[in-house]
Order: sequence, then structure tokens, then C-alpha cells
Amino acid sequence: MSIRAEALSFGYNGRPVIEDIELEFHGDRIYAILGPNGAGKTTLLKCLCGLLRPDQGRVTVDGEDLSSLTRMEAARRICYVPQRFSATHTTVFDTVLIGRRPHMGWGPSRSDLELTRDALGAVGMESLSMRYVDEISGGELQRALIARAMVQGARTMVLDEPTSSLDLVNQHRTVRLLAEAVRSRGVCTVMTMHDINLAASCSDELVFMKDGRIAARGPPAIITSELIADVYGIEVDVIDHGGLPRALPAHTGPRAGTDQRRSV
Amino acid sequence: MMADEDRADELTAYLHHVSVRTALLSAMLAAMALLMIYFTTVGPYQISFWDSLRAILDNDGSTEATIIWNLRLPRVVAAVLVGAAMGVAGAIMQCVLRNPLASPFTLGVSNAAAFGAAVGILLLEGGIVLGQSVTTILITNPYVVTGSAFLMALVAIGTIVLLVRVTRISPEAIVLTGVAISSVFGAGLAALQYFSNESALANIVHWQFGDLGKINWDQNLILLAVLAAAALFFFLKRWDFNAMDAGDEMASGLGVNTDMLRIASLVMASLLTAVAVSFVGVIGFIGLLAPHVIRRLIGNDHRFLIPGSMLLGSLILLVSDTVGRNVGDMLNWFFASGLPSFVIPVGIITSFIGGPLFIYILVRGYRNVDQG
Repeated sequence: MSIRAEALSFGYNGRPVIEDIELEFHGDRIYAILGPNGAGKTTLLKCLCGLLRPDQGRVTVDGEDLSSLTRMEAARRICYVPQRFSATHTTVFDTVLIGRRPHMGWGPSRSDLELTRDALGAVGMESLSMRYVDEISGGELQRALIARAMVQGARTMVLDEPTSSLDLVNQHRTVRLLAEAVRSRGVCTVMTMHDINLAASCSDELVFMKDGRIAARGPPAIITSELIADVYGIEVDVIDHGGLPRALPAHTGPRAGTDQRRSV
Repeated sequence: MMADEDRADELTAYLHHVSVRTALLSAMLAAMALLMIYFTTVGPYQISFWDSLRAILDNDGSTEATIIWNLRLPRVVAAVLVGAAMGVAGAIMQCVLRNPLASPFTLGVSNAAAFGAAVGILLLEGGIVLGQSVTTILITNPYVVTGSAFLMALVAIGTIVLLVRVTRISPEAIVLTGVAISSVFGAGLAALQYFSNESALANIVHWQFGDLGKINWDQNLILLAVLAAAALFFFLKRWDFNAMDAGDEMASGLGVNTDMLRIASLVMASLLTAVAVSFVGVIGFIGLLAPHVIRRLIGNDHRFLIPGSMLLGSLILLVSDTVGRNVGDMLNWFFASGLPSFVIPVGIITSFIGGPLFIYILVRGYRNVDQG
């Protein structure tokens, strides 16, 4: 299982947003795409799953050009979880079940229902399955969306900032669920993130973007204060924490020099 | 073993959830069938329920059968078809425009269709105006009239879609745009009235309020054919509508061609509106009320929302029309007064019920959001 971006460029109204992106993602691994706001992360994700047609270059899935697939065929291979989700008066079970849409004929089969039940069990939401999604918390909703992504059965999951609106507990719970999905199902997971430290702790590989281009890519060990200064334009201290790099903001702001740890 | 039983219970709970909704829709269908028969008994000429049922099943040429088949049943069937058309058109517009305030009436599509139908009747020779009374416009060529109404309905919905795509205006602004569209087509209708003769003018005014009294079997058949085609299309796309509820990006990620679905659905909803308005005039609020009440009862799942909105739309219009055509007798019975019998066009009744109820739904909805 591999998904590959070849010389990918895309722009809105003639203004380039991503330029000349060359990337390859493989199964069984988690990739985090990082970078400041406006770096082109979401645009890259949308090109990767076929929601945006690139101006130049192409995306291939297992060697097959994504643009040659119908939308339904693409949905069977790549699952996209957007950052924004409108929670309507629909049950959690139905919200997850709709993930089977690319495989449904007239309606859901018994096996679609069983897959939905199993996915709800995998994310620990059995007891909430008959609740309405406009009545559950943000963390629970994110877990439901991961369950939906699981039932879609695609070998690649593309998630846009799956942890951005969650508290600490739910951030870690979400990345743990994704890691479990990768391990148990061998799916390739590509997600955009803002939290560098969380990305370093849950990803096999990091991709840093700046001004629509790839600034750096590699294992978490590539995080250095020079790289962060180059990509984000801020000073950070990078320390080693249990074998993983941790980026801590350097002495800035009104509390500088009093208690560095609180400003982290 | 215990875990397996628990998981089986979740599936059972879901299947129960589905069967409860199916049962509710079946009950509504049964209630509608009974009311259809019962309302054919209501009127100046008294007919019992069983005689009505017998006459419906066997049109034997008796007085009862003649009254039912020529006068009452076309009207009752029209109430069911128009109510279903308006209900489902509202539900679909609300989904694809992601706007809870959308409906054929609030977006100005109904008024646009009314203008188009008037153009078809008065300028394109699709109908004739009979005598000097206030009730007789005869549609001689329903295809010209509905075609003209459909064209104008497409202009209205096309304007809305263009504004949504180009300016990304808010749901409230879309409804304000609908008010503007209604005004423009209302002005067009007023201009037609201004240049028409007196009887045509009176007819257009009367027809703007919506009245099921003038419909005939041929028109009912056209309405049935369009409704059946549209309902089948909407029902086939029910899972795509469910996916669209979560947003365009989510739906696209699930393989739904959102742009095509939106345009096809709005064209279908406009066609339904155009045909209904051409034959019975503008009947407001059904397209708002029915989907909102059904959503509160059984949720947003379009598997149930589509048939539910159709059934409730039919029930509302069926009851409203029967109340409207017997309002004089009902007042006399209630107040023991000696008023002469009179009828009120059903469009006025639905606006009287729909306006305040919709404000109530809105206020309740916003309060829930605030508390949530």
C-alpha cells in the first residue's frame, strides 16, 4: 500500500498554495504533516485524497493515477476525515455506519452493521451508540469519526488536524486509537497536526511544510531548534525526553525568566 | 461470552431504533389512508364512512360515487400529493443548502412558479379565464403552464445557488434573498394583474392563496407522476443526503458527488414546486413545517426524513383543506350560530397554522442551542 505525490502543485485563483511536492507514504506507518498556518497542509491533504485536482503533477495510489478513479473508487481506497464536521441530530451508530457508503448497494448489509458495531467497540463507544451526535462531547465525536474512518475500510486514512479541538486526555486517546488502527489493520495514516511534541510521540515520520513546500521530512529525530526556527520563525529549546525530542518555547513573553516550565 | 452478548445488544438496540421509526411511518400512512376516506364523507351532502369506502372501491354511478369521484376525491388526493411534494421539497432543500430555514415558499421558488404559471396561462395561452366569477381559470395546456412555472422556479433557485457558491452568504441571508426573489416575482404577478382584465385579475389574486378546489384528475395524474419520480430519486440518494449532512468535504470523502447531487436535487425540488403551484397555487409553510416536526420526532436520517416529511406534509394539507372547506359549518356547530356556509382557501389556513408554529419551532430551537 503506497500513496505518492509527484511534482504536486495547486493554487487558488492563480495564487500557488503548494508547489512541487514530492512525497511517498507507505502502509503500516503514521505520518504527521506539520507547519505554520497557511503553509498548505490542508490543501496537500485534499489533493492526496482527490478532493482537489492538482494544477500540476499527480497523486498515485499503488501506482494508479488517482484522477483516473471515480469518486466512489477513490473513497474505497482513501478515507478523509476533515477538520470540520457538522454534528446533526443523527445517532452515533448512523454516523459511523455512513462510513460504509462507498461499499453500500441499496442499503447497509448485515456485515455493514456488524462492522459498525465492532468499530464502536474498538473506540470504546458501545454505550453511546444510540445517542445523538449533537449531544455528545468533542472528544466522543472525534472517536466516532475515527470509528467511521475504520469502517470505511480504506487502506489509507487522511485526517486534517484530528486533535486540534481536543483536551489533553482526548488528544492522547485519539492518537492511541489511530496507532492501534495502524497496527491492527496495517493502514497508512497521514494527518496534519499543530502539536509538534504530540506528533513526535505518535508518528513514524514527520513532514514539515513552509510556504507550500516541503521544508524537511524524516523521523522525529529531525526536530532541532534550527529547523523549528526556520519553519515557524520562533526560538525553541529542543530537549531529549525518553528518547524523543521535545520542543519547548524559549524565554519569551512577560513571564520570561521567572518560570520557564509554566510557559510551555 | 458476556462481551459478545453486550455487542449483540448494541445491534439489537439499533435494529429496534430502525423498527420504531418504520412503525411510526407505517402508522402515519395508515392514519392518512383513514383520513382520506373519512374526509370524503365531510361536506354538505352527508355520506357515511362505509358508503364512502364502497363508492371509492366501486364507482357504480350512484349519487354518492359521483360526488366522491368528481368532487371530493380529486381534492383529497390533491391534498395528499401537494402536501407530500411540498414536504419532501422542503426537506431536500434544507439538506442540500444546509439551511434549516429553506423551503420552496421561503426561498421564493413558490412565488416564482406562481408567476411562471400566470405567464403560461395568460400570455402563452396555456389556460383560459371563464366568465366573471372569481374561481374559474381553466388550464387547457398543463404542460405549457407547468413548463413556464418550472422555468421561473429554476430562475429563483438558480439565483440562490449562484449566491451561495459565489458569496458564501449565511443561511439567514439566503432566506432574505428568498424574500427579495418573492418580491420581484410578486411584482411581476402584480404587473400581469395590472394589465389583465377584471376577471383574470380576480382569479390570479384568488389563485395566489392556494386552493385545491380547482384541480382535476388529469392534473392529479401529472402531479403523481412527477412526485413518484422525484421521491424515487430522493429515496435512492438517501444515504448521500445523510453523508451531506456532515458537510460537503465529508460527503466527498465518502464518494458523493456533492455538486451534482445538489443541483439535481434542487432541480427536482423546483419541478415539484412548479407542478404543485401550477395546479393549486401557492401553499406556504408545509415545506418548512413537515421536515422540522419529523426531524424532532425521529432525527435527521433521510431514510425516514424523506417519507416522513411526505406523509406529514400530506396529513397537514389534508386536515387544513378539510377545515378550510368546512370552516363555516364548523363555526356554526361550535358557536351554534347561523352563519352561511363559506370556505377558506387552504393556503390561508396553512399560513395561519404554519407561521406561528414555525416561530415557535425557531424559538425552541434557538433556546436549545443556547442551553446546549
